[in-house]
Formats: sequence, C-alpha cells, structure tokens
Amino acid sequence: MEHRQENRERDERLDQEIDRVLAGDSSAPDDTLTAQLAREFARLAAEQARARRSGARGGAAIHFIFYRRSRGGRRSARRY
Amino acid sequence: MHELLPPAEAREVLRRAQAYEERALTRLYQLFSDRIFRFIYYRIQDRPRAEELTNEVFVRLLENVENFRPGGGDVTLALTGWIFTIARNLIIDDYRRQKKRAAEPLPDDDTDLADETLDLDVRLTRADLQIALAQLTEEQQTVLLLRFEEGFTSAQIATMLGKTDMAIKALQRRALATMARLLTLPRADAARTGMS
Repeated sequence: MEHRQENRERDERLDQEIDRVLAGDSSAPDDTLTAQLAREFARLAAEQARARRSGARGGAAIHFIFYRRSRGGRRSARRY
Repeated sequence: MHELLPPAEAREVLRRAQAYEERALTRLYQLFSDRIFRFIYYRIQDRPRAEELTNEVFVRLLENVENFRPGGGDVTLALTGWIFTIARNLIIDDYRRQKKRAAEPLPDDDTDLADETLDLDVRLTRADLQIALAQLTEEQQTVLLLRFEEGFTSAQIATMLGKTDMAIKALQRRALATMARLLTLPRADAARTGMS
C-alpha cells in the first residue's frame, strides 16, 4: 500500500516535470534519470518541430481521396 | 494545455464532415495529417510506407466518420483519440501483414535505477530515442509520442485513450524508466569492460 502511494507520488512528480519541460522551463529541479530523459525527449521534439516549420511535408493526396470518395463511392476511395 | 481545436469548432467541423462537406474534411486533414504522419513514421521508420498509412487513415476516416459519435465529453479530444486510434490499428495491422513484428517489448521497468540521480551525461540523438522507443509496448509508445511530440497533457491523453489520468502517468513513468535503462546500461557495460 505504501509502495503504491510512493509510486503515485513519483508518477505525479515526473508528470509535473514533463509539464515544465514542455513549457520550456529548463530550471530542472528533478535530476532523476527519467526526468533527464524526459528533458532530452522534449528537446528533440522541439528541435524536430522547428525543422518542420522550416520545411512542411508535402501531402496533397487528400483532395484526390475526397474526389474519389465523392465520385465513386466508398470502396473506390481506397484506390488513391 | 494543448489546444488543437476549440470544442465548438470541433463540433461544427465534425458535423459538416459527417455530411461529407469537402471543406470540413480538408480542415480535418490539415489539422491531423502531419500529426498522424509523424506518429506513424516515428513508429515504423519507413517514410513512403508512413505516407501510405497516413493516407489510409484518412480513407478510413472518410468511410467511418458518419458513424463516429464523440459522446458527451470534449469533442476535440474524442475526435483526436479516434483518429489516432485508427492510426494505431493500421500500424498494428501493418506489422502483422509484413510479419515484421517488432522485437518483443521489454517488461515494464519499475526499478529504482531510473529514479537515481545518475547523470545521463549525453545529449541523445533522435536515433537513440527511436531505438529505445521501439522496445516499449505499443501503448507506452503511443502515450510518449502523444505527450512529447504532440504536447498533450496526461489528462488529455487519458480522455483520448479512455483511461484514467493516474494510469497514463504510471504508463509514462514506466516507459521512461525502461528507456532510461536501455539508454544507460550499454554505457555502464562499456565502462565495466573498459570500452568507451
């Protein structure tokens, strides 16, 4: 029971740490391995997001999918 | 707090999408296509296949949107959860079809190692992260990608996946603990054997 409570507290602390790092707070009061990994994960996700903003992925397929769906019915939508 | 689409707008877009209005369907595509692509690509590491599966997600959305019922809660989260669930199912089907099953996921790691204040002492690369991520269960991968890549809160992910907030927080910590172990043990082994 006590162990479960400890786990919950650790879950909660880590979740708050992730909220902080995702909000860009690098003050990092928690220095456990999981918190360090969370910060690395957030850093890489942010880097990736910046890269995405400078070069959007192409993806005009949707118009074709919709076109096929509206013209040819449900199954033909698969032949995009 | 992640705000993908205000609930009132989500309700309206969904209503119009269910009537197959092209502008509403296009809006859904614009909102979700990159997110879904990223989610799939992170998992399967094959860009052309990820593109195909992303398109397939939207085909399935088209086929089923008229029957989708968001329930009484947050429409945005219900819709987001539904679309990501389509993507998850397609990824699982794709693994099965290709008989390229991912390595058996490691058991949850709840050891104290991950809570020690050791220094991870390295800037990880995306490849490091992807390799470690691939060792997790499907559910753990989903939670971490929604949390870190998409910026949803634990409470939002819980709503999207139909779980409790506590369950998501526990999944999240065990997933990160497993990854931390995977990312630190090789270095510990290398140090023990005198290699760097």
